Amino acid sequence: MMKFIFMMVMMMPLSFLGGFWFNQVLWFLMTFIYLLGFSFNYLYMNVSYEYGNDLMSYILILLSFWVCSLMILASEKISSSGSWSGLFLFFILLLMWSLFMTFGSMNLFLFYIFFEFSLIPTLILILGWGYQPERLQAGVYLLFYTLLASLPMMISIFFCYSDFYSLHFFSMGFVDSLIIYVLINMVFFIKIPMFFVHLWLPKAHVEAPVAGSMILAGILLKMGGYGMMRLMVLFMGIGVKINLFFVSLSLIGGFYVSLMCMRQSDMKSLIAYSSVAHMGLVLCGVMSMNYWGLAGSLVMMVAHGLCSSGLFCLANVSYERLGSRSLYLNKGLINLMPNLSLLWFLLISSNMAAPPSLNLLGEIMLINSILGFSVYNMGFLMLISFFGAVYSLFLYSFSQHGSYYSGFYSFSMCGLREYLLLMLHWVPLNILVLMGDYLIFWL
Amino acid sequence: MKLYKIMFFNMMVMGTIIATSSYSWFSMWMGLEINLLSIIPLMSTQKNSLSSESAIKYFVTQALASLILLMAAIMMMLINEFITPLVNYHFLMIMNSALLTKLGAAPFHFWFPEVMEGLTWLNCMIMLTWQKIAPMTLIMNNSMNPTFSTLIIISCLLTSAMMVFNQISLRKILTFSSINHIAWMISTTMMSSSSWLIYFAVYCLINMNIIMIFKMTNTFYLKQINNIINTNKTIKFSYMMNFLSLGGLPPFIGFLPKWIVINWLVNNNMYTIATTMIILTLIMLYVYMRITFSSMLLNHNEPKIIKLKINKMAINTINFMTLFSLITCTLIFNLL
Repeated sequence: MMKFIFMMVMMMPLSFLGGFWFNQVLWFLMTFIYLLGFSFNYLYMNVSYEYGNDLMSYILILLSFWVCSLMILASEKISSSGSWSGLFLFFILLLMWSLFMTFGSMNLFLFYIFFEFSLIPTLILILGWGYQPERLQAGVYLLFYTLLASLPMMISIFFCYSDFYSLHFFSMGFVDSLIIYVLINMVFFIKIPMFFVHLWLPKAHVEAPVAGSMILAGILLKMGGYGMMRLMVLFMGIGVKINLFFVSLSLIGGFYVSLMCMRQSDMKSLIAYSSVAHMGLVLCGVMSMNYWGLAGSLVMMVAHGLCSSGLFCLANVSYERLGSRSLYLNKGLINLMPNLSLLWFLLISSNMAAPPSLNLLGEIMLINSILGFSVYNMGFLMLISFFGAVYSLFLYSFSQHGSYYSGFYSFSMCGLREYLLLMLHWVPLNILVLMGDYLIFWL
Repeated sequence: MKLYKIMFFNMMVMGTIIATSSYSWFSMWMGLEINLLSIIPLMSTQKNSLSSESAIKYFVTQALASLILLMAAIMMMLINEFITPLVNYHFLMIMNSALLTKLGAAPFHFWFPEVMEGLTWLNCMIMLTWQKIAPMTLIMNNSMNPTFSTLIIISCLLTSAMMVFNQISLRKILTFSSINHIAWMISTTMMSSSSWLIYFAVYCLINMNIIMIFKMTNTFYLKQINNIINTNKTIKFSYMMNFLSLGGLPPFIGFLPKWIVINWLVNNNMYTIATTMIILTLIMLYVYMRITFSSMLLNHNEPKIIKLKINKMAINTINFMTLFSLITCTLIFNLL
């Protein structure tokens, strides 16, 4: 693991000196070197200094590497418009470093510190490279929603320490206190985000640059899910009693959010709300505390990370050409960019869990686990799945079909870089299904 | 630099050392007085009349506090023949109030922003860092009534959070932030002096970095940040991150003292006060964010014609080494 940490540290001066695309190549190099370290089993590997990866950490770190590389590929505008591309690369490195440490740590407090650390590069990405002045508000929302819950979490971490005399994930016992349950999990609820505390997410997505949106939807939401999956074992006693409330809340919330999706006119906002609905399913899966739920959550997290990140790229491709993300201007795009329309279709069909995609695997497992939790969840699960298809189709048909807006100025067709970017999202999303067993054997 | 300033500076340092290292309350009082009398000439400058105003204000309040301190010590002696921390809660409260006045803690803080407003940045640095040492150590000699100290802590946090909104003077913002940090330091004085030491040292480091940036760029008000600080990316980032560090966000060194303090509080079962402190400090963090927004937005024209001389390598190195020393600090604990 040290080699990746060192590589990232040594790339920090290079991000200022090396040039944008050279760094991009190095990022992919790093990703593929990490990919070669796959150990084909679920045990912890590379353990040293309280850091180590089991299969779940490995997959999420791999996803972070992948999404970070694609973030740079997507942000060609930052390089060509000369808006501090060196600084941009530097903050992506910092972010990746913190994610590496977060997913790799075997100690709750280290996990907590790096969890917090990832906030600051994200904040600077949004504030520094966002588009509108409202990004200030979005940044404050992001920061203070998380901090308000995460600082009390620190107190409960110390409480756990005085209880167990260790914060190592393996040597922690059970906590039977409702307050500690809420304090520790609330930060993950906010991060994932659960319905009711999701308000920061659409704001942050709408204001963030494409790289910020990709990392937010791709990785940062998964940190909440990861934390809950790691720590749910602490709350097996108390969780049996009160997980029910959070499952119900996020199922109903997922349905409401799906309804809200259909009233969005901003494409990014629509995708952001759809990720609230999907992550609500992940939350339910973890909260159901059965094998299918935990395994399915990981599958869903990887699938959603690739899929929504790809959708944000697509929205950005239109935004760079049309100068707007409004669905009332982004219509009839099939007339203008027919090749891109295929990619829209592929990624949106993955978003609604169409057959070859990883989303389908995740959704099947999550539906099984949530129904195993209680049969009465069936109603809202049906509604969420159905409306998931509805808002995805809404996005597709509104943006692709119909007559195009006649006030367009001329713009260039989609470039090779953009096709590559989108295919690098879509291909793993649909190929990984063949390797689905490695995604579900981590437990 | 005038010669007499060097002399008075040394006397000021000596006064603090006398106060902190003495046995009897009388010599502690004497040290505080020496410290006070020698900082007054340091404050004065010929350039404007604001400094003499703040020097007089500082002198009056500090002299008052010293008198009350002396009175409390003498009355304890009169009643008990010796000063015992266990019996005389009422006298101890008087004595602690006097020391808290010297410190500028919240219900006794009214002189603090007024005095700071008239000082130069270097004098502000003395007021915010060095002048806290003597009263803080003297407070640690007394055993403070827990109710009283909780009251002080909460009022410090609330007052600083309320007052700091809508301030545009950076000196006042730093003053209220210092009142906020006094609350944390008082909570450490209830438990362990070593954690106070760590807290205070880190607070001083961050504050010195911030004040050096302000002094180099001659920035006194929020509006002036755009003039110089935002035109240079290195200065901008060190300014921004120092404030995040002051607010106690994890990757920076400012997190270390908060971590230690919260750990101590939780070990001593003081969950309520720990939670209150954390939540109320978030308001302070919001204000730090607010004054760094203009730098965080990154969009600013950087003049190529006028080369700024402020981009000193040493300052930047010290800044970034301090900021990211959380990692080194924790590693050193591992090595020990």
